[in-house]
Amino acid sequence: MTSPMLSTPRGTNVLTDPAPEASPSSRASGAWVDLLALVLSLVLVALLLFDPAGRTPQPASAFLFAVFVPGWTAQRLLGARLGLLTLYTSFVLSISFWMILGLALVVTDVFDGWVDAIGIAVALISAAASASMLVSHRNDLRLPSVGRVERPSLASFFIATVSVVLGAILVTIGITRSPNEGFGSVGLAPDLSLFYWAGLVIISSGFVILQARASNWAWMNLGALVVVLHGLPGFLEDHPRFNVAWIHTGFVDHIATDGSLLPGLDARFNWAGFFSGAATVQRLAETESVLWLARFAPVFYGLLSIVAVYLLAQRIGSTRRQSIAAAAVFTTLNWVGQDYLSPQATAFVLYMGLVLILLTYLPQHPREWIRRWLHTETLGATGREGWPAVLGVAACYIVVVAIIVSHQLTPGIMLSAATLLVIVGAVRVRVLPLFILVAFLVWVSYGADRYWIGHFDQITGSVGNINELLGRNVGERAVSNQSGRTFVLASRIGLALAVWASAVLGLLLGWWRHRTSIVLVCLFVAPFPMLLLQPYGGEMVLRVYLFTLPAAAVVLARVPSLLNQPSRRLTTATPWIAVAAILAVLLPLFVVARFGNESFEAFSEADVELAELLYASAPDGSMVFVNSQQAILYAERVEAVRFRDLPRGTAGERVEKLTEFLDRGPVFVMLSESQARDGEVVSGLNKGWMNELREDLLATGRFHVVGQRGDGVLMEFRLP
Amino acid sequence: MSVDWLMSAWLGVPLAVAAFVLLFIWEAQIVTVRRSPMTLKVGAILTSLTLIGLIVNRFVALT
Repeated sequence: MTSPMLSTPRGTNVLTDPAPEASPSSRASGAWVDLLALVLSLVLVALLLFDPAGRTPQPASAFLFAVFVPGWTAQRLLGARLGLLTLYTSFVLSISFWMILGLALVVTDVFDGWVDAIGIAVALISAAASASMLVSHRNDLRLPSVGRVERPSLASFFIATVSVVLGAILVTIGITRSPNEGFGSVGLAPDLSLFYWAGLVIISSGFVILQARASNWAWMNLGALVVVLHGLPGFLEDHPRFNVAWIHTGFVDHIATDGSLLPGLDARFNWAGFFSGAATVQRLAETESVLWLARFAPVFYGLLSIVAVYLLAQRIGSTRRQSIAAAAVFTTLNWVGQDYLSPQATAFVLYMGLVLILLTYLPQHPREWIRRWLHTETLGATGREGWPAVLGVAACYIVVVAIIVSHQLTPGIMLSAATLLVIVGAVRVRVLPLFILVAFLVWVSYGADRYWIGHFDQITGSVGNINELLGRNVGERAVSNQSGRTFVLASRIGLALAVWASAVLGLLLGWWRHRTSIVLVCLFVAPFPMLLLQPYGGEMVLRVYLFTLPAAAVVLARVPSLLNQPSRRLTTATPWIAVAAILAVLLPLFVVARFGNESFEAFSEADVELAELLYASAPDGSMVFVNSQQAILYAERVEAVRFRDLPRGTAGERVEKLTEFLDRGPVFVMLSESQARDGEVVSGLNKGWMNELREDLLATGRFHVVGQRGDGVLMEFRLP
Repeated sequence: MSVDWLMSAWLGVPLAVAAFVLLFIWEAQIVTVRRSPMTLKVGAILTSLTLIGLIVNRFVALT
């Protein structure tokens, strides 16, 4: 039932897509999603209640329930109908819900005792609500008719299916014929079988053909592209990649098992919303960790991102074909690798949700002076009035809080974007920037004080220091003495600069044609001030690139229509051949830039076995020294087994410094294959440097070899 | 007189909740095109500024 309080005078309801009326088929599909939500809720309740020992694996049902069902159910109760935005905001609101709830349980010290009961309660409420919706809409539960599919649509369906299936088969063969470890300094690209590339060509060719036919079936090829591009290491490698993803699973596991934070151990525990939310998923899934999420997290985030970019393009008035093209541009240019299991990847999805809610429910025509000076286009829809608008504001504020308690950088970008949108008058909200600022300061002051007390100067020392910021963000990231590595770094810098330059040209072209989208200008410009604040370990430029990319992708997808006069539509083959040529260059470049670190960011079987040996050997209170952070660290017993960088100097100097730690507990040195490759590729050390280091250390007579796995070794440091 | 309580979360958090509620109500009034009472605007701004002042004081005192 829809509350009359939630309806606008025109009868539309809150948190629905802008379409004035849902078609019969979409109403039916909404009921089918209710059925899915009901099934997911009931399965989870049954597993939690009747299999408390967790014998039945339930990660899939727990994950799908957690990331989708609460948000979907809440929106349906408020009268939402099916639409792409409703589906996307279901993910955004569900994830926000668990992040805020999980953190609230942790900081009030009741996580361990309450989280299971709350999980069951949420699942039961969702089941009851979904059942209620199904009863209300039982007549809509019918299969869509296929009898009226037109011939062009059938042909497009055939092209999409054949290209995706054939491409997937070739990609699968290619992956089985490619090595799964021991990659060179250029990463995955040179080692991939030709079958993989052939599959990629077929899927992307199908995409171009379907785009030329303006078919919605291009979505199928785009989804396949996300899977085969961003999921490549997940399919290829034996273990989840990237040390930080492993660290995050360790943090999540600590919260899931202990119910507490360790703000003194790592700054990230001061923004623990994501970790607390993921810990609730781990508890609902009854698994030992969430490492099972890490392998294909980039695919999950990639699929959500293309939907967000598509919706953004639609909101600023792009055609459907341009919107799908924008999503494809985003996919093939998102090389920054910030989509692993992490707070920032989740915060990016939420940030896009916030932008979409603002632009869909609370848009307005920009101010007169902006329209006159910038030759702006206006947003098509009028948004929502009355209670639906208030609920839109509430959704925005919930997402803002979830972002602020989960990530350090995204609030700054969010504040910048919201302020710009308010200044130009593209949205109806006015107080949101002040709310973001106050909420951020409150969290930093009271929730993250362990982070900044004592080293405030260190955090703020770089503000406005252009030389240091440039050096850390660009200089240190662009230098290597290896030709392969140099090529990878050059491809990244080249792609980033090309995207930013093209986007600026696209915006200027829009201004020239009197079709500037002020929203895109705001979203593109908003992240750049962050570059002046903090180097963030030299990674700030990557984050800025990621957050500018949605707007840049939409701008780039609109360029062909800005270049063409209305009389010269894209009806000839020439522009599509050009698109295919661009893709032919872009896809290999993407693989080089995206997976160029794979030589040291991937973990071999020996790396994983060495980490298992470490955790089997190191008692609580151990300190483990590593030559670089490119290893499996903090994957288990986060509080009990700590890691530090191995002191520099001669073997004797290292021994002297390590001796200082012996009175605090057992001391280990772990040298893994991933560290060996990191030294060779990133630091430019000679091949075999790690063996030399090991021999030097052993020659001091103070080290005992606990075990060796591949080229890696675990040694215990002892008194003479 | 000790001013430790000025820096404690016992003062800051309730003030933050009050500020968030007032800001939300103000925003709700704006998006529904209703005339916001002056007391609401002044209350929201004063609460927010007081909170920001407390936070800045805390930053200065603890760093």
